[in-house]
Amino acid sequence: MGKEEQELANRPDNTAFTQQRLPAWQPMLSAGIVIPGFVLIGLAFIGIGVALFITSRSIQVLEFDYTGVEQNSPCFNCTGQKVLNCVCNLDFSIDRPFTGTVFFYYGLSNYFQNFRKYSVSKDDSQLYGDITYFKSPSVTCSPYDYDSNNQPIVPCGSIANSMFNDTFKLNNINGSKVDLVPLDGKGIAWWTDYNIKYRNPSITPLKNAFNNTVKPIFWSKPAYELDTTDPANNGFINQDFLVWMRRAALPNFRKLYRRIDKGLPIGNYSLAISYNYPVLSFNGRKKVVFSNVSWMGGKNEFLGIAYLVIGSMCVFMSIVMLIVYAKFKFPEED
Amino acid sequence: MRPTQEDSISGNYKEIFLEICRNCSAVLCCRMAPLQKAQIVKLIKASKEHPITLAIGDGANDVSMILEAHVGIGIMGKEGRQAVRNSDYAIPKFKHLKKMLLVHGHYYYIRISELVQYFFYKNVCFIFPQFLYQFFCGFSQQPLYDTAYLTLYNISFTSLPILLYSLIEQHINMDILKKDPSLYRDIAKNSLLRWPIFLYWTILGVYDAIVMFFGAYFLFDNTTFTSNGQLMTTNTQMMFGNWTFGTLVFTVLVFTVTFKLVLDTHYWTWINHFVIWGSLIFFVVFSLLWGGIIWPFLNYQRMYYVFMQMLSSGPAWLSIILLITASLLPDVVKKVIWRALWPTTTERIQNADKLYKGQLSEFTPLASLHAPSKAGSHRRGSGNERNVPNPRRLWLKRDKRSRTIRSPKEERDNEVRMMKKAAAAVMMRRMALK
Repeated sequence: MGKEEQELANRPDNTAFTQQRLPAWQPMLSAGIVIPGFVLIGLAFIGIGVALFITSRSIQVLEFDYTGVEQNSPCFNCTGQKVLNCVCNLDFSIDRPFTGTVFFYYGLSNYFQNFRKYSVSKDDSQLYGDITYFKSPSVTCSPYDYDSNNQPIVPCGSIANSMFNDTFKLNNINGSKVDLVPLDGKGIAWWTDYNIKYRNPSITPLKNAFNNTVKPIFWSKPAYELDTTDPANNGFINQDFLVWMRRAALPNFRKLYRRIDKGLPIGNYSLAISYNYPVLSFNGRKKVVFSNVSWMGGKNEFLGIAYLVIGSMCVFMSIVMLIVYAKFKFPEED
Repeated sequence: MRPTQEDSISGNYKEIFLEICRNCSAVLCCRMAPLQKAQIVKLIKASKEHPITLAIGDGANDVSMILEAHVGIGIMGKEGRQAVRNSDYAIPKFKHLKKMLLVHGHYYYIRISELVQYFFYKNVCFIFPQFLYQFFCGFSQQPLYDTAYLTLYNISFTSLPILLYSLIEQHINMDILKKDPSLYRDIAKNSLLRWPIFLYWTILGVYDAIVMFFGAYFLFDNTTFTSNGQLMTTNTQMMFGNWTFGTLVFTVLVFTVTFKLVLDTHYWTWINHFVIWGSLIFFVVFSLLWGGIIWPFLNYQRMYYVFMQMLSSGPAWLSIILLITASLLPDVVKKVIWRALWPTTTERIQNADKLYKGQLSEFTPLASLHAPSKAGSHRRGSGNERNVPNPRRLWLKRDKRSRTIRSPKEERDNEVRMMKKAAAAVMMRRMALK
């Protein structure tokens, strides 16, 4: 009796799970499902691709490289060494009016904001407004954490130090009249950056929070004077600063500078550039871009073309599979 | 063959003996000492094709043979537990060998080969975009994905589905496997872990990685790829940074490798659904939580709100869908075309099972399952040809009389005999009527 009990105790479980008898659905990749599925996907993709391509075609983009490498470029005079506060004028004309909001970007080439040492070189606690880190910046910021007199730099790090400081003014030339086109700089950075991630220290006036610290070496103005006209745009929550601090993914990138809300009518324009930012030492390029946007963002032909290609490949593949099935499978079945 | 003599004369006899044995389908050796049994196994192991050997026994004199063979099976018999203690697997009765080999052995091989191949594949897909990114970040070892994603990819996001697959997957019904031993030939000679299959998986992984990375690259390069930002404030187009780029690639990656497993799974229990869709949901929920809070223990807040920003952009959604489809397309096409042109025996059985909707049992005649294909004059994994005419017309009835497995030649002879009998009966009836 005991031996039997022992044998029964050793018996494995007889449940559906342990005996692998669970009820299951056993699908199969058969022709009846795959071929119609491919056709559907292909047609849907082609439709989306056409819509994207057409939308992208209707977006206007104007791009000007103003680095000043060539002799005849307007900013050539500014490229020399020891030329300070140089202003160059870029003249252009618009044939087709830009309707809707026009976005004004500055673009850089061969600029590796995604370089690892560069991209870790900031102190998030400082930028969150924590005063204790004003006195002792994080060691990741080095060599831009203390200056030659051993004073802490605020904001520290090479991302902040290398902030883009060219400024632009756009003039609409109407015969002899020169109108300044209004540029709107509000809300160009991420809302969460502006409101949550970056905070000014809670000391008023802001200038006092920066006692016993120095501005970054490359900057001409300290952080609390980035925009003296608007206190909501000063300090660490300056919109241009936030846009710069969001590191770009690839070496050729664009960053939003301003918005032109009323569009750009036909006419002649002159862009006055304060050329401050040196890029020639590393073969970089600077450019300005005017673009309007649609529901799919800026001008990007890749997405439309890719959808069209994949969609047509799906349809083509379904035809191939249909031929294969018709030739080799169907005659056998009743 | 005496165990002690190893001189050239008995060596010569070994060669002849091996040659004779290889030409027989069964060899009977009687009155063997334990050491001689082991020597026979060793002899077969050392033969030209280096086959995998299996030894089964129940007594203490079988122990050396069990230890020598690649797979040793002990039977818990009346002669004690010596064989069981020294074996790799132990079964209570000899008849259990059939299910163990044909069903469980087959299942385990399918599961483990898929596990190995899939693991390499998903890690190739994971790391290759990171490698490609180095060409575009000045070779500075900048990671493409955030640290949390790097850590949790293999632990949380993609581990459970394949784990469950390797525990539960059944590519064919158990009864069919027991009924048709020739299916075992599909996996003979380690066929699913050989170089061609491994190269296929690796190339698929590289292709997927290139599609994912460069798909995202062309969207980000020198364009104004932005979010629409309409959820938070109006009229803003917020620029994407490098962590958004990496998160986009990572999202496509996780969904692609999981859907690849979805395409490979043939046996969907409720646990499969739970684990697969649960892993994907977990990834999304984790990303939302990771980027939704300023975590105090983190030095960097680089992922803050990145995932949500990415999801608020129409083009990002469109590109995710596009890249997932483009990655999975070749594999689906290959599966369908290969299944039509060069089906393995396994696949034919799966087709037949689908046709008969699971009414196939251990007792359905063999011939009804092996419909030949016009295109495939060679079948992967198995050797012989079968020219059975369209069997569906003849063999839909269960053969209740036969409870043994017959070889196809026997089945054909049986058919011919029965047809001759029927024809003779008809002739006799006609003659009687006249």
